[in-house]
Amino acid sequence: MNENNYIIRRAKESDYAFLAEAILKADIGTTGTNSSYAALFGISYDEARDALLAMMPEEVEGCEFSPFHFLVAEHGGEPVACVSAWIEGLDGVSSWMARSALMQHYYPKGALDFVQTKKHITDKMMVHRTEGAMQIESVFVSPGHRGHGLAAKLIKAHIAKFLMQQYPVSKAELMTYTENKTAIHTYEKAGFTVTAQTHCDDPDVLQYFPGTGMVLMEAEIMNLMKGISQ
Amino acid sequence: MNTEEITNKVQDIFREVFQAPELMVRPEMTANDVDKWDSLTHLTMIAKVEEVFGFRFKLKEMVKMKNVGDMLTIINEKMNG
Repeated sequence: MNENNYIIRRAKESDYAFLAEAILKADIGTTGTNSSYAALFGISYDEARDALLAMMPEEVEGCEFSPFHFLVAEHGGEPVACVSAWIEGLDGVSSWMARSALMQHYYPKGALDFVQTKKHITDKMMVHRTEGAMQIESVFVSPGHRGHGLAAKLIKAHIAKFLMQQYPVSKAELMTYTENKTAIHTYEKAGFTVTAQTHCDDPDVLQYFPGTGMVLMEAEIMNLMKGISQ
Repeated sequence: MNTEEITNKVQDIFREVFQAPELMVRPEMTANDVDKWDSLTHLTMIAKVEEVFGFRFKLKEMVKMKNVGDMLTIINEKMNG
């Protein structure tokens, strides 16, 4: 497949269905079985996808559910890869607050009561984003398009966009699950280092998360531009 | 309902939800200032505020609340506007 056939652009309305799936599939990764956006809320994958799709037109900024923060790689007129990026707390509102507000309005009734019963697990899993750092989320490449460096290209395009717009940002952060060894290794090669790690020993954790712990990784964005261009 | 009554009610909710009996709400207070204020307790707090004051926050209001002061202003507008 010719690499020149890929176009990198901002997400648009016709991508929403792709983005909703990508958010869930990126969370599941290569090792999990269900997304925490579904299982942790006691809802099915399809219910979570439909809720994400319904909230997209709101274009709430500052969290992983905003289509405004996505860049996509298009091939043959179709989106085939995406990465989301925003600056944490840029408008004074944390991403988890924006995400919670969207879930409160769009998740099925009972889902938010369900997640409250799993607080003993979420408390052990969560890592915290750093205010002012660029957040990289929902890194997803469709299976048929892997191996072309699309994720790296999309991350670089995000950084270039932030730098061009002169956002006051020097560090990038991302989160993944401890079991995603291949992804962690790839990110380390690109210049990321692990800055925080959690582990949950609750026997039920894998019913609700695609991993038993989370890893927060950080990189200087200037180093990242060099690292992923190699 | 005056501002003091609203603040007192919000303070009672915060003390209960965040399990902090001595907590005093301040307009500039954010989640960073309260130990147990996280994504899950935030949902409980919002639901409790809606129940006590008898209204629902709009999505756009919820994603613009930067601190307790912003929330008190919205409640005040809803109750007295």
